[in-house]
Amino acid sequence: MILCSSVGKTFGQVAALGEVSFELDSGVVGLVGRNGAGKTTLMRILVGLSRPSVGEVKIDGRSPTSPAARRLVGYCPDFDSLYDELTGAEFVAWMLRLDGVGAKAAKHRAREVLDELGLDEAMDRRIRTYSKGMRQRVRLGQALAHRPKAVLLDEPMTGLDPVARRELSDEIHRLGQTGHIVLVSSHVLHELEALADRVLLVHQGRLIADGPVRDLRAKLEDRPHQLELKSSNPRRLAERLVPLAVVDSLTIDEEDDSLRIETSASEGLFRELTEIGADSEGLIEELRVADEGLDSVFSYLVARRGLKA
Amino acid sequence: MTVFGSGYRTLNVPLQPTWRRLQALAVTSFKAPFARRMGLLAYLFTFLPGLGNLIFLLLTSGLITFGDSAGSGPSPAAQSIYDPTEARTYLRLVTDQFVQFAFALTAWITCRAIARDRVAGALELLWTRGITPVGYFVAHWVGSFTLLALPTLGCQLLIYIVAYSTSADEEFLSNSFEPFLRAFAGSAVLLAVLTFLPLCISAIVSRAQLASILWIGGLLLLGAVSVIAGSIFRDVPGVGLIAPWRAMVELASQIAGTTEDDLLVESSLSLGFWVVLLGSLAMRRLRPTEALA
Repeated sequence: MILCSSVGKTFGQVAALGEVSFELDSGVVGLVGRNGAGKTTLMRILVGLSRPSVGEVKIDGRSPTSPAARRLVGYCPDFDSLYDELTGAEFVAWMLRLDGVGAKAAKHRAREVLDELGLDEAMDRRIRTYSKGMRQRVRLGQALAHRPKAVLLDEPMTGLDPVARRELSDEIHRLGQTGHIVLVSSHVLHELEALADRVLLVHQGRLIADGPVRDLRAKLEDRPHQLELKSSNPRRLAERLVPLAVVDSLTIDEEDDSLRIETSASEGLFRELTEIGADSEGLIEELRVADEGLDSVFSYLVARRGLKA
Repeated sequence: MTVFGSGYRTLNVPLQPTWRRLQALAVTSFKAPFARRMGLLAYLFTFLPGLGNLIFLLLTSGLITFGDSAGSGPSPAAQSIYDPTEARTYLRLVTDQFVQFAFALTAWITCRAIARDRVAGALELLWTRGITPVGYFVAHWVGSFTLLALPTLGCQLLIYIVAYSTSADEEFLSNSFEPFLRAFAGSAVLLAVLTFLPLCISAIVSRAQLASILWIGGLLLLGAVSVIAGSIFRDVPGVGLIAPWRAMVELASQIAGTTEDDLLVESSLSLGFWVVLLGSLAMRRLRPTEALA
């Protein structure tokens, strides 16, 4: 349904994307790369916000800028893009109105989608009162409200706490299982492991790997992962984490109210963090995966392809 | 939470034409002051000049009387000041009495309209909805124009209808319709430009407050420049029309036929310059960003 053939994009002398080709038909696909690798540029081309310098993109055989193609795609950008003075329901209904849905149907559908996303009680509150996780759900709601076939999510996990990450992951997983194409970008491979059936790895604007996530994961096995946690009480959080077998090492940065954890069993650690997050609200304010392992995969693949790291 | 419990299915609702989609945007722009109760009250306050004119009309026509003057009818002096068969009676509501309100409304609402969307990061989301920058701009323009038109054009129309329905003169309609229409058209053109220019500034800059400062500051600064230029170059006709507000008033007066001077071309050229300059800059800024993400 999404066909990207030899797509390249240059800005003056700078090549942001070069000769990227792939085809997406179903399931959850991860788009992984370091910051500045070209992920957002590619996403923008796929949703018709930017035109490729070379090559072409087809959404169900049509240009991404055609009205028919736009109806098939939902886009959740990596920036906030919400009006704080509106309620969640008002915002999603307004976006639907801009899609051409009538006022009454838009209101009904907005409430339906936000209800399904778990915002049933909060949808009539002003967005300014929402947590990061709730804001993310509203953004996801506007991307899903017109029932697109493909959903493009740009860095959707950024800034979310473990519980919100888990909920969003579940939702993305379900979307993939119900016949949608979900393209999720992230600079952290680890975030997509449990989600994506397939991963596209981009580096310096080039697609350097395209395949099942386990193949890439295999290259990470012998490397520990690093996570950075922001906490209202880092010492208390450290007390909870130190006894865990999945934590290899832990350092506290009290000036920054953060902890840095190294682990060789990341899946187990994520499970534990989700439980801690659910038990003690606010103890984990933010989670960031400083995945050194991804760098090693990049280095490996880059070296194999003879590219500059 | 589950969004699609039984597999993918399309949203089965009839889609509306483009103008209805843009109408949703225009309504958002129009409703901006009503988000808070204070905003609604402040907006109602802008109807004061129009309502004041209406009350004055009722007084001069003798429909409202006080004490001993009951039944004595309007005084000739009052009637000469407020003649509903003359274009200037309607036009001065916009060019004189509403000025402060017009500047306040454009600085408060129009200047915020697009800058607010940019700050919220919503512009790119709108482009993915198939809304074009031109359609988006026009929708906001219509919203802002309507907001200013209600206390001005709306009141002009109301005053004319009241004057017509209370007039004993059988030839009132034939005597007054053309002057009214010309004043109405002149006022509409003035308001169209008055909302277009700050909306362009709102599209050009990234912050709503900056847009308001630039708009009001620009009006004042160019007003001062036009006064100075007018005093230096006394022999050059229309040199003072470098200031957008003066050019707007002059053009409206030319259309309404309330001025002896023949400065239609000069005022049109001045406003055309500002409209083309700011309009093209605004369109450039509204294009989806083509830059390294």
